[in-house]
Amino acid sequence: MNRHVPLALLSGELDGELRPAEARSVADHLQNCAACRSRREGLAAARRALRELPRQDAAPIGLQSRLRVAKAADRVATGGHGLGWLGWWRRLFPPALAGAGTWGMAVLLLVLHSVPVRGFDDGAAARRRSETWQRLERYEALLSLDGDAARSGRSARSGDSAASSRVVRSHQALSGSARSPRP
Amino acid sequence: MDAWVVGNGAVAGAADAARAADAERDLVARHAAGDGSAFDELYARFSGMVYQLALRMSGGREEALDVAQEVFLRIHRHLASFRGGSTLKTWIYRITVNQCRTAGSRQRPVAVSIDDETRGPVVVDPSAGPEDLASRSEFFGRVERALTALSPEYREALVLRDIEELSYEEISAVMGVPLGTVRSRIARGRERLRIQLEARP
Repeated sequence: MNRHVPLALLSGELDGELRPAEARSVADHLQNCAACRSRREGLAAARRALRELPRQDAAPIGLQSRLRVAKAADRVATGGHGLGWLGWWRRLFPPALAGAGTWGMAVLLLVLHSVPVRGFDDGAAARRRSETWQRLERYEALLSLDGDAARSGRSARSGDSAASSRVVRSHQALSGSARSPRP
Repeated sequence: MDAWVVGNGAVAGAADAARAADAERDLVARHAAGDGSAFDELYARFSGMVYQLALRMSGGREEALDVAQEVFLRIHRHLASFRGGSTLKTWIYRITVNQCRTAGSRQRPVAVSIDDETRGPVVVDPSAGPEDLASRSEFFGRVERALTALSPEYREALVLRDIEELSYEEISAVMGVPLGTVRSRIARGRERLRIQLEARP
């Protein structure tokens, strides 16, 4: 190892966490490199400083009493299930029921969203068609071209071609170009 | 001869580990069955460790108490679901580190000095004179301030290694990072700590 020892290896060597081959290589290098020895000494001092800090071998007595209160509050909040607000919610709605309810609601929303809109459109279109035919029938009746149909209104919905021919005849009658004699 | 000693030691270590795992399984089963003394035993065994880690990570007594309380609440809630994928100690360390991270993301750690009355009892050498004590007290204060000034990932790694004295492998399990990352964070953390200690006499 001719170059300087990487920081991670110097630090790992202090902890005895190197593989045997790495440890041998670092030891060999340190014998001949003052810069690496100095750097290693700095790391060792930092390590020693932390290890010399006063230890807290026991938690303060206050922690136990705080924990006792917190556990009691937790039990009240969870009903003893230890799941927090989720436990309370789950007891109200068992998971299977809650899942089925969610899917049911989703399907219902889809149906409500699609069916009424289509129905409304269909109804409006049907009304418009009906009003158109009624106007045409009144028009025919007025012109007395098809008195029977105009009175009963039953032929109004018999077919587009028939309706179209009646309209054409109505226009012809109005213009007077093809007025046919009554039978 | 060396090989025999090593081999024998490994067998003894494995037997100890198996006994410890059995004891932990028993503790978990008792807690799951509603035996309150199981949690009391666990608290007696780990509360000092949890509090010390929380104190070094958060830097203040009140913050450490909050963290430790939340850690033991979580343990109380979830101990029954502990499956033994790691040791109980590693599991509790992991909960504590995560809780420190959560608490740390809400507020900056506060540097405390050895003179701070909120720190709790400090073990001192009875043979040391007043000047020694004052000087050591000042030194500890500098170390603590330098530690709390480190970024959380370096502080975590250094506290787990040099204060809790976990192995690199245990730290890897607690922090949830690869072994190489542990090695690198400890090294860089030490380097930054050294620079801070040398820069501020």
